[in-house]
Formats: sequence, structure tokens, C-alpha cells
Amino acid sequence: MAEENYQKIVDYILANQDKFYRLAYSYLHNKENSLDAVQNAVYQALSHYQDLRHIQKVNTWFYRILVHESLEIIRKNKRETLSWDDLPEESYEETGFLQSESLYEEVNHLEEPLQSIIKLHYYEGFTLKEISLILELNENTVKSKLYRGLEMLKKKLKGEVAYGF
Amino acid sequence: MDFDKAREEYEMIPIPKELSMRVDKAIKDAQNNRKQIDIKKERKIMKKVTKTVAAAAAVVLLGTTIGVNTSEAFAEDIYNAPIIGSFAELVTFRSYSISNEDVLINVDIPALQDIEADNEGLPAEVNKEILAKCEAYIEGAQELAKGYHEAFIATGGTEKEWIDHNITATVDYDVLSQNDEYLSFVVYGWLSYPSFYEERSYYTWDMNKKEIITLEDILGEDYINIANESIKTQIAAYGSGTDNPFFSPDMGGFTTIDEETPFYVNEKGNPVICFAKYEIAPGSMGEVQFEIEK
Repeated sequence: MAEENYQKIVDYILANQDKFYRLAYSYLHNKENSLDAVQNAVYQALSHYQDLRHIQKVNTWFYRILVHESLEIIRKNKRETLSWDDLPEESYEETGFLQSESLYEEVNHLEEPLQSIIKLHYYEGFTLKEISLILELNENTVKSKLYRGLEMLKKKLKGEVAYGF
Repeated sequence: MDFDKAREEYEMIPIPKELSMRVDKAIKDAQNNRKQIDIKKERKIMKKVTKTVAAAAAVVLLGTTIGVNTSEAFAEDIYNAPIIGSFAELVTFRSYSISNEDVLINVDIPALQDIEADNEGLPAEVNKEILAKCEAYIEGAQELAKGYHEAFIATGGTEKEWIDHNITATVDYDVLSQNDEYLSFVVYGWLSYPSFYEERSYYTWDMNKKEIITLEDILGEDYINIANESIKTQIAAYGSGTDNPFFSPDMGGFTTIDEETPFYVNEKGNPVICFAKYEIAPGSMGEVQFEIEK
């Protein structure tokens, strides 16, 4: 029943809002933007809640909206301002050799959708199949990109060790 | 690589106390937005009602004869639909509104009238099916609206706010094509909220055979393969890999049609196969249709 679904989505949102915020923050690294992302995602989800056919899929469905809203804010910020945060990724790598970056930070510097795949898989525990639904990618694409992301992380972490010497 | 440690770091991200406030605001905003959508839909219905009045006037001139059950408590009307083919036509069998504390339902149920077949009782069967579908839909819409109303009040909404929601349902039909051979039409129902409660049933009447036709009748014995091949080619034309907006077959996308797959016949006489919203593609693509060249 529809109204039951609506209420279940609201309950799901209320129970998981902390997790939503963390994921948004891992993309945006800033409190205000992260709050915006969660607020927008909740609004979008409830406005289009009839798109959710099966309540069992609320988790992947909501994360799809949340990831989209988070990346949308990054895109908007890039268009509107050019701040230090928006400098190309190489700048991170240059400073990388001075202080050894943690795996967590390295993940945050990965390109999309490698970054999302790794976060969703290792932090949020989604299966590759679920991630393919969240990111609207083919499951095999998700798999190969996950491996590519892991390769890149390995290289970066090794590279830093070498620089350290 | 130690993802456990990375995840620990991730889980250390502090949650600001404003978060629950912002989430609550989003929930309220979504609720308010829904009201506005409902108002827009109401305007659309008003237009339709005006048309109905004009059409009702036409019946006086054309003098249609079709059995109508007038014992309903609601105002009922019968009128001719826009003039169509010479052998068969679609008329509004029942037109009425139901209004209660939960929902306003505007109903136009069609009936197929075949001048020659009428006495053979064939359209009666079709008409019975259409009527039963519409009535089941209306019942479902009333139930949904009632449940939504109860939940709305139970979660602190007032009756006045509820009235502002103005939930409406519509049952109506459209003629999709008409010529000497076929009369194709769709009967549909939709509810302004929740809007996924939508149903569309397609029918194509063969003027000569005096029956509702199937895909096999129009494409021949090999209709499944013919249609599948055409649909697959048309889906592929949208692009390959991630550029293609359709669900892939292993993710619930298109695999094959069957004898139940809905279709209508267009003005060119070609069947057009219809897939409901979400069936084989994301909801943003709406209902997807494929014309199959004969």
C-alpha cells in the first residue's frame, strides 16, 4: 500500500540519517554542503517516492539519490567558484609525499565512480550488484572499476612509502 | 590494504546537531510541494469536465442507444464520444463523480458499440471486462485515499490541511486510432497522489472480424520473434553500454514479449507495443512504446 510505503521511507530516513550525512561528508568535506546534500536527497526522495516500486529496495534507491545530490553539489561548486578545493587532483599528490596520507584520504581523492564504488562497498557494505543499481552502471563495469580503484590505491600507497625514503 | 581502519576513520565523521532539523525540514517541504502538484492536476480535470459537458450535449442530436444503469446514487450521464468509424464506436457508458471525505473521483467508463455485432453479444464481453477493470480501479483508489487520509490525521495533520491536499482520481479513455479495419483505444486510471497508482489497458477491435485482436492476429504465427527482434533493434539504437538508457536484460530489462504484452494499432496499421513506466527502463522515460513494422 502506498501510504504504508511513504511512512516506511520516512522511518528509514529518520533511522539512517547519520549514515547519509557521513557519506555526503566524505564527498564534500564541509558541514554546510553535507547538510544541504542530505536535505536535498530527502526532499527528492519523498517527492518522487512513487518511483520506488518495492519497499525492500529503499536502501539502494535512497543511496542513488544521495550520491547524485552529493555529486551535484560538487559540480555546482565547481561552476560557481574556483577555490583551493577545486584545484586538480595532482596538487594533492604533490603534497602527498610530505605527509603520509591514510587509505581513507586516498579513497577521497579517487576519481568518480571509483571513489563511490569503494565507499559504498567497504564503508556501507553494499554488494556489487547493489552498487550497480545505486550508480546505474552495469555490474561488470562496477567490478572492473572496483579493481582499477584498488590498483590505483595500492600504487599511491606504495608510492608514498618510496617518497618517504 | 586495511579498509577496516579506513572505515573506522569514516565512521568518526562527527554528526552535527542540525542534521535532524534539516531532515525534518525536507520531510515537511516535500509534503507542501505535493499540495501544489495536486492543484495543477485539478486544473487539468476542470478542463476535461468542460469537454464532457460539450459532449453530453451531442447525445441529444445523435440519439445513441445503449443500456445504462441509472440506479447509481451519483449523477450519471451518457453521451457520444467524438465521432468515429462506421462500424464500431466507443461511447461513454458511465460518467459520474464520486466525492467523499477522502477523494474526488471523476469517472468516464467507455463501452464499445459495434453496430452489427451488438446482437451477437461480443462487445458485451469486452464491455463487461472494461467495466470490471474500472470498478476495481475505483475501489482501489478509494481504499488508497482512505488509508492515506487516516495516516495523515494520525500523524498530526488537520482535516483542513487534508482538504487542501485535494486528492483526485480519474478514470478515462482515449481513442488511439480508427479506420475501416481497426479501432484502438486505451482505458486508464490515475490517482493524483500517490501517483504510481496508474493503470492502462489497451484494446483493438477488428471491425471485420468483430473481435478484440491479439498480436498474433496482426503479426502472424511468428509474432513473438518478429516483435522481439524489432524491439531489440530499437533499444540498441539508443546507444551501447552505459549510454543506453534501458535496463539490461539481467537487470530486469527487456527479454521477450508474450501473448499478454499490451499493444495498440496505430494509424498506419502497425502494432505499437507498450511497456509500463519502470517496466524495462527508468521511470524518467515514462511508458515506452515500440512500433513494429508489419
